[in-house]
Amino acid sequence: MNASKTLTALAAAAALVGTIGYASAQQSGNDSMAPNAGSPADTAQPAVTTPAPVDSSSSTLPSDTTSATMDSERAPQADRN
Amino acid sequence: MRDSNRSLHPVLDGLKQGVVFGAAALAVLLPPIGGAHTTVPRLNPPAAAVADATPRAPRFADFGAETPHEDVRHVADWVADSGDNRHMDFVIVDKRDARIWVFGADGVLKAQSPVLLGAAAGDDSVAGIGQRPIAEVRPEERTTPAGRFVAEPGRNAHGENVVWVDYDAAVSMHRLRANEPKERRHERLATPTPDDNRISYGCINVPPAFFEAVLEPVFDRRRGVVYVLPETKPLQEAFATSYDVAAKHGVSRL
Repeated sequence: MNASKTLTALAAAAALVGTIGYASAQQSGNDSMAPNAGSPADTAQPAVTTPAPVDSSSSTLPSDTTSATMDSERAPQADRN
Repeated sequence: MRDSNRSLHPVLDGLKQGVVFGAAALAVLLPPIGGAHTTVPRLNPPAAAVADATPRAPRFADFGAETPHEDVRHVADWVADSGDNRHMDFVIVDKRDARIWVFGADGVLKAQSPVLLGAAAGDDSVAGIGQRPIAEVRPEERTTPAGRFVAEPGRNAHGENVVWVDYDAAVSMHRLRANEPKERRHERLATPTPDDNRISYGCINVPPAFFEAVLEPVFDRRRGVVYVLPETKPLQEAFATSYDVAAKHGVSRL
């Protein structure tokens, strides 16, 4: 009877150790995967980002960055009348 | 034999119970662990990846009741639509018609007027002309240059307030001056034709009342953009980035 109890305890302990080991292996496998790499649909999607729309008007703007408000006037000079 | 069989029963019973306990433990522990990866939420695509592809409405210059020449309308519409004026008021000088058009930053016409311009036909300034005395400027060099200029208020050598269009080339917009009576500048400005409005050394002569009522408020310590239309070059060469607003947006101009 004592032998039976001992064997029961050993088998249960072995089963628990195996369970914990299996669960641990599963968890580490999940951690090493990319968040969205789990499904075939995710891996099939190309890594394309849509470029921001280009406003053709902005691309035609001259490169001057002169502000509208003036701090000081240029030196007086003769004009071409 | 019976004794040996009896002695094996406790061993088998113990193994059976151990397997049962282990299976029970698996049943309790595995579902939450094994199902964890199914509960990871999908990451949404970055907001920047969702582009706003909505086309914007075209913007046309507002001429009110005025009817400009086609080149003036083309440039004014392009400026209004593209924002080339960078939120500044802007001016278009039509050399062929000897006329100035003044707009607010929003593309609404403020006023227009005939002007006097450089006596020589041409769209460029001779290099170094801004440093030469006016008496040394030859007749063929008396051009009003074409192009886009960021203009600003200032003073000339006599202390008169002017608007510098091209400071380096000494080209300004100023009140009409009748320094030389034989030039008949006032009379030229008063005639309905632009053919006799070419008399200056390159500056843009504006009626005094127009300068004070329209240009001075626009250039009151502020810059503005002046577009001088060409007379010998093609318009597209002077303003290479300009475009037809109606055609670009696929609409008709009202």
